[in-house]
Amino acid sequence: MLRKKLKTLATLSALLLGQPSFAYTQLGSISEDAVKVGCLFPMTGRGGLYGHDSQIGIQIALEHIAAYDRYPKLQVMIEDSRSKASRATRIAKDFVQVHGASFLCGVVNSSVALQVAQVAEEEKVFFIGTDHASSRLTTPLTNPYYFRLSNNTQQSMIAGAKYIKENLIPQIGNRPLRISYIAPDYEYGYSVWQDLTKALETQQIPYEIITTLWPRLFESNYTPFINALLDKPTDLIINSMWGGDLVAFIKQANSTKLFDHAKFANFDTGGNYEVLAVLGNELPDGLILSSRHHNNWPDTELNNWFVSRFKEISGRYPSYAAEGAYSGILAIAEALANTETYSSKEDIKKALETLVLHLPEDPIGFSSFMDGSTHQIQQVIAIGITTQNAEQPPAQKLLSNWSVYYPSHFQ
Amino acid sequence: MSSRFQHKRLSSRYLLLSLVVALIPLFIFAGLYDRYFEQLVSKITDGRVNTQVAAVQNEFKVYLRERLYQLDVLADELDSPEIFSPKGKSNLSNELEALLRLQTDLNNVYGVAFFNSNKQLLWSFPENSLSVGRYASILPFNTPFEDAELLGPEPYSFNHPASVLLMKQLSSSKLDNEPFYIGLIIRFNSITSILKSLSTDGIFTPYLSTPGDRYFDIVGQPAELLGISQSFDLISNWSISLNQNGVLAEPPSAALRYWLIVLVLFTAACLLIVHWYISRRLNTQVSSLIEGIERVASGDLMSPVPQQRGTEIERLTDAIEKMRFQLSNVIQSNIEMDRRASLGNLSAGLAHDIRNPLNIIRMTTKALIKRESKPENKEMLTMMVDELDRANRVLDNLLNFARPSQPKQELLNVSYELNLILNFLQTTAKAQKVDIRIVCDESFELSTDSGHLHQALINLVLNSIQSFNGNGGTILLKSFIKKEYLCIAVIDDGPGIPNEIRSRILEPFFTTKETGTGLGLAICQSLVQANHGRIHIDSCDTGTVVELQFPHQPNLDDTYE
Repeated sequence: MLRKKLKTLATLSALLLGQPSFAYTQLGSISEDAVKVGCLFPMTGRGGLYGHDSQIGIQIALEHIAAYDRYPKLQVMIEDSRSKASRATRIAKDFVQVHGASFLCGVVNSSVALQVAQVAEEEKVFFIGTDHASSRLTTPLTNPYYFRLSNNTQQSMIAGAKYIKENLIPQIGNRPLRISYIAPDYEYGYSVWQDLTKALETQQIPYEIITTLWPRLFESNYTPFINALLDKPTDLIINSMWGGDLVAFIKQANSTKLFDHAKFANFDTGGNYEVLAVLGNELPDGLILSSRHHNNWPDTELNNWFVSRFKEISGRYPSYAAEGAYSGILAIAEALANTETYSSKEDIKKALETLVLHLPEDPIGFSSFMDGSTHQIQQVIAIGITTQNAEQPPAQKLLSNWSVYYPSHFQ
Repeated sequence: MSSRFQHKRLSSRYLLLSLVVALIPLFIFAGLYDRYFEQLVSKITDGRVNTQVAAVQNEFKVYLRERLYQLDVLADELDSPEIFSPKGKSNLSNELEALLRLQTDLNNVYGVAFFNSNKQLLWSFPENSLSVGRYASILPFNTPFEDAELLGPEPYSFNHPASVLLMKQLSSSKLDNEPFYIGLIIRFNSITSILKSLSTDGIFTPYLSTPGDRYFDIVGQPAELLGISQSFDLISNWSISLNQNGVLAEPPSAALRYWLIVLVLFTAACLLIVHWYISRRLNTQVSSLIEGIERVASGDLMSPVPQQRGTEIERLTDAIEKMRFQLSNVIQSNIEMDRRASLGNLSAGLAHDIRNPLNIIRMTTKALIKRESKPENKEMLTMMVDELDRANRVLDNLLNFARPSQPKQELLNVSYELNLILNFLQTTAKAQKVDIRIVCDESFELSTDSGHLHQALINLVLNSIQSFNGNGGTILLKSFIKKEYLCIAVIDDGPGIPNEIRSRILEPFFTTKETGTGLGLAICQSLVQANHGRIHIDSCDTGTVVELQFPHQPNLDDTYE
């Protein structure tokens, strides 16, 4: 019976491969000569909000681009990847082979991103990563067509290690910091852990690993994992879940003494507005969180404009995915604007490698810039503490007491 | 009190009853709970666990079979010898690559690995989902499962989650009868989590026992088995170990029983402490009361019975104190009456038997004086008359004290009467350098016997003048209203009355003067009482205050004898 089912599945997948095209959402120019960008985001399921926010971020970027003559016409196609590598790679190929996309962008899941990057390399189109963070794609750089416009896990973990050294080590006295780690069981979780341990060693932080736990992505019941964390004395629990997984974990941990048991940190995505909004008052005070973009930091004209424009369009505040997608599309436009001919991939590559962009997450006096050797954007990382603040409802708590780390500090 | 009667005390009976009432229900409850708990644990451990274990055993096998069927599907499709080469991935068609992606999208499968006929790793999909090193680490842990092999789990590492490899030989005509192998890289945590349902009721902690005598908990952490555990086979070398949790590990509710015993002992100890405290408190109160009563019984009516405010016997001590006070007053009154009666009889006898002869002697002596021509004899006779006058005055005083004349009530102006006294004693006072002053409202009136009042006041003022011993001083005659009494006070700034004699100065015949009769103050008191008044004396080193207190509207009757 099961064998039959699986065989049917295999046949279906073969049939799906034969399908000519997906029904995608199209934004931007409808002109035939517009540069085509194919974006892949999860639009349904636990990661669905990332896709919807990214779409609005792209819309804002296209508005910005349309306001300046120096930018080329862009046509952006968006399709639901469902966070599945098989589907994402087929869509990517479809964008390139059927719709003539010169750029791929987006992708939230790091495992999916690895496989889409392979497609990009095979098809010789640029892949502008916006939301996935595994450092495996950029450290070392193995794919010349890959560029990432958001911080990767290596950068976040170096900032996290600096934060630990400055704020937590002085509190524990003369002994190693006891760390427990819990992460989703896929590429992103492994990458964060690898980067974190490397950063702790680079920063010469004495630490002892108590345990590492790997619940599956989209796990529904975290109780056994929370009990396992509570079983052992720990100074710091480092969590690298994101989105709905992190929300579910915090909700379930709230009914235990986990947040009294040890300090809790999520240095890469925990401070995402999506998490703050869904948890509201259920979000405990004093959690150490960061995110790739914050709605309340930096307090600059550009960031305030971006957040308020997003709210005008959607009626709500953005998650970090919106600014990631905005950055990705803007990067493509900026690179093309700096290129003499759009057809020269080498010129575009050079333009991307030397890209400098002023983005909403940049504090005054700083602009994000691309590291040509790794194809990884270099940005400022701010880590904050959850505190009562209802200025951006439905979130009842926002981050404050910022510790800010500039790119030069990462090394 | 003999100890053999101690059990009859109310407090002892109360203690016994309290122990019975508190402990018997506790013992009954403990017994019933113990029995219930024993049955409950037995029911859970013997019945339910076996059912749950059987379900988990089945789920474990079904899970592996599903993975095996998944592997079969791949094996059916991936049967080209080109794929089973180090560069096999580049020989994959788009359709087969899509199929691999679809199969590895599942959360519980990390990837697919391809092996040559010597079971050497060729390549894996996604890239590097199985490295040569990790493959080597699982090779020693080989378990046959149906027509495949289950390799692993790999040694525990903090760096990444463990995996197991389900490897199967491909048999296809396309493969030229060369045996190739294909493996599914399975998430080990997905296998350990199958045991999750065994821990939901909190009675057992399940562990997965794997080849190499290694144990893992349901989240894939390595574990050491401690205490009693039950083992249930899954497949060869793989089993479930159930550890009963500490609280329930001992025979039925041993810990609970221990706490119940502690509770019983604690209750009994509390009751004993309460009993001891109440008994001690009552004993102290009763002992103090008994001492007071015994003092009264031994004749000491002046020492008050100690009051015990806020205690259980407060009313009793109040009543006994009242009784002592009344008894003391009655006895004092009887003594006074007896004394007066005796003095009355004595003075009547004296008046009759001594006074008349004395008067005759006096008259005779006076006659002799008139006839005597010798001055020496005349002086001696005069002295005799003086001494006879003195003896007469003593008799007068005695009669006044024993039977004061019946008061003749008349309305007096107090200020006027005080001025009369002042005029009368002014000469004597000046001779002793004493200044007498009066403070009195002109309107004060008093209904009393004027003779009695004069006598009492003159007595008191003379006492004050004498107390100065010729050193001079000030005497204040002051009248005022105090509640329902009109008071006339004689206040001097003399040396006061010594402490040791203060309580006796009103006794008849008590005197400190060489020529005194000891009747002055006693007569004063007698006269004041005859007019329904009372006398109050207060004295210290800097003076004395004698206060005569009369009712505003005295109800004089003829009852006095």
